[in-house]
Amino acid sequence: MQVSCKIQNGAEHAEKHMKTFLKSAIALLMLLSTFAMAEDQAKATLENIVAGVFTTASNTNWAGFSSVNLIAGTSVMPTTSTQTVLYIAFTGGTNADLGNMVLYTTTARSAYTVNAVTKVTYKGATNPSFNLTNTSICPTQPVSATNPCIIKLDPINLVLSTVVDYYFVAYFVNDSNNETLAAASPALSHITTLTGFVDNKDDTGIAVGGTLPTTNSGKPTVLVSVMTE
Amino acid sequence: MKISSFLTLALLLVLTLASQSPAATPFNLVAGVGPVTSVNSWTGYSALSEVSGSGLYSKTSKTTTFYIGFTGGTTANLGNMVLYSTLTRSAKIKTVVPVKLGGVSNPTIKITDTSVCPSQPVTVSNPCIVRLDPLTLTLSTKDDYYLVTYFTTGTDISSTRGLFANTTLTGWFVGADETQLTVGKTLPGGNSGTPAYFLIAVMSD
Repeated sequence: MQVSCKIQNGAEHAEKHMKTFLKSAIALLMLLSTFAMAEDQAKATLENIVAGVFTTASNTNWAGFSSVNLIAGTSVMPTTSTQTVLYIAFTGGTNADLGNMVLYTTTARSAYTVNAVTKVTYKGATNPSFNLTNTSICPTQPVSATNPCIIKLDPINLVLSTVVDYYFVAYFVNDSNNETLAAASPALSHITTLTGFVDNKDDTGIAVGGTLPTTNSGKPTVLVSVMTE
Repeated sequence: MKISSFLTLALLLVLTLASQSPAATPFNLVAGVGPVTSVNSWTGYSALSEVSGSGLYSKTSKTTTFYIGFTGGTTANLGNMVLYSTLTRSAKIKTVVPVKLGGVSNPTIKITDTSVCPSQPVTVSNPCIVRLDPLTLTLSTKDDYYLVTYFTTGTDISSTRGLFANTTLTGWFVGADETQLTVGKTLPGGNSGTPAYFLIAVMSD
């Protein structure tokens, strides 16, 4: 009788310990998960993916020209987003008429062979027109080099890799609006890790396997920031 | 009760592990070199590349990996590779760490070998980027680091060099073996802030 009581007491004791252990383990894991979620929320804050352009200057007359911008894989900062957002800026003119926008991925760092082509859009269109005098697009008027109008393009479902390069190319149609259009470029050279050049043709039609223009003057145009969403 | 506790435990464990998985992706520790140009005639020269502590990104790593680039030629005979550290903005050497490729600090790199440089021919617009062995080292913002590579006879390769000064990697070269300096000695001067030779990226892996 005493033996059976002891066994029963022992079993109850063990069960109590087990329950306490499980409760403690669950509490600990919930705490860890809370930390992980808090970290994720912190990650949701917008982060720069590269060092962008700050003080801006103007580059005028875009009719029939492409703005070619290199986002070097070696300059990609550690971020956590699954999306990439490109920001473009204009410094003068009344309308910007885009013919097309693409983001090329190269086969390797410092390489010029296209490995992937991704459409870049604004409100779903790859060829948007921006009325720069419209305060819903450019809230602060008038737009100038010291008051650039910065436009957020649609987020791209892409995590930029450090082992390839990316080229954002925006082509401006050959019309009178774009003749007076001014786009942002860095006022201070080599502060940003974005580089690029202006090409007098449409460079948005290069297919996978094709070769990108190897020219690079070191100055990005139009593109001012690359951020997470 | 026991089954539901176990399931909750397992679910939370999976969630916790899943939230930590992206950390394994290699990341840049500094802003590296973008477009490159080419520099040749490296026999008897040391390339010195500075990784400034003040240029480090905020995310740290327990390992550090250097990537060096070539733009042409056939053979790079390395006499030695080292990484010096100094207190930031100081020229006095604090530590010396051997840097290796395939476990040796004096490798011969065949640029025309497709197992080394898969995309041939190697040119300035198709550079070959070689990953050196990872170092078990966390770079500190309080220190500066100098990767020094010395090239011996038989070297006919050309190196990458940043085309623009928008990288935090800077460097210079010296016509002697500068890999034999010891702790307490002073680094040779000459860094005028031009983009680094060979070194194009410093990553976590």
